[in-house]
Amino acid sequence: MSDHRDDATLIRDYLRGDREALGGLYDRHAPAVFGYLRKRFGPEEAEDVLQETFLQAADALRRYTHRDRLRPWLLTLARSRALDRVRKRARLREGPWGEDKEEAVPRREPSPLEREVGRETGRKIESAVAGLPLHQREIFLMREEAGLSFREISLALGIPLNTALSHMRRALIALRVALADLEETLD
Amino acid sequence: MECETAARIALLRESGEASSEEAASLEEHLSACARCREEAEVFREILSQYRSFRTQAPPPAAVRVELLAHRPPSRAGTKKILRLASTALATAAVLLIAFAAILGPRTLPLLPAFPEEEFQRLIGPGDPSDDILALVKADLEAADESLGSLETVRLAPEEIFRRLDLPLELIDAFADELEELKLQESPDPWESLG
Repeated sequence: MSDHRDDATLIRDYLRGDREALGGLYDRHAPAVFGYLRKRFGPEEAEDVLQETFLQAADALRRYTHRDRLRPWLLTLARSRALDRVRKRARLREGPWGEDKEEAVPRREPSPLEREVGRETGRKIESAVAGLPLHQREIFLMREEAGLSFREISLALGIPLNTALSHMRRALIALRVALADLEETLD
Repeated sequence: MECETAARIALLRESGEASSEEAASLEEHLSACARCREEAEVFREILSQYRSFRTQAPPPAAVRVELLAHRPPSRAGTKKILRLASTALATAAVLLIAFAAILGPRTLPLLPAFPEEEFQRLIGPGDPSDDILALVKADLEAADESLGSLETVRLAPEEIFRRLDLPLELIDAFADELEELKLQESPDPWESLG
């Protein structure tokens, strides 16, 4: 059963000793964070980073002041932890977008829908997203997987709103080209 | 409205962030600009396809179990908090008693507000018992510098616990310990007067 308390109430209740309130926060936000991590960094990293993120958040909630913006904060934590792991693994210098020259396209398991009906379409669309330039993919996944608004994305990444919007538009233009190729292939 | 602006507002409208004025301006532009109209339609279709065909996996249940079993470091040592806090505040209580003795019997003045800026400067990300120590130490130092001025001792235990967001029910347990420590450690105020 989903918890109907809002985030601020769940945080307050957790800090007063209600551990199920923390479970409520997890149930509400983990799907979005996990979805972003899977597509952005790959399924192998996603589970570990998800756990580290929520454990860190649980420890830091007492100091957290922006209680109406919990999800962008969680995404920022998750991204930071994932990039730390990438840096340790790759030992490459990174810019603000966490560029990793050896970053692989995340692998994924095909869904039953893809297997039965739209196998080729689903694979192509997700491959097209995985092939986007890093900063476009970052914005796209924060919007489509994590469900952040563009203002929240701007806050989470510390970039101007117009920059986030421009990157999203370029991502959609790139996907348009990739999917046009797909339509030609299927025709 | 330029096409670049229209494209940005179209995205904001799709995410529910555009104001009604922005949405109206966008509609006006789209009614006159076939290129932007076509782009908006294509983007809607792309997002629709992605949302229909993307794979989704639920977050692992094991992570939830670990999370609920986790004990944050700040909550792990209630007894330690009580011990350290009560020692620090017992020292403050001893000083108060000593000042009262030096100045003669008098009613303790109401404590003026502890400046928020200084409060925030003193507390840190670690164990709240460290915060309590830092706050009391700062107060004691201020009291020390202006010996005899009770107005400089600014923090009552309730205020400390409230400002650090610690459960107030700990204060009762703390008050008992403090009372015991005061009895054990505080000097007879009349002895110092000879």
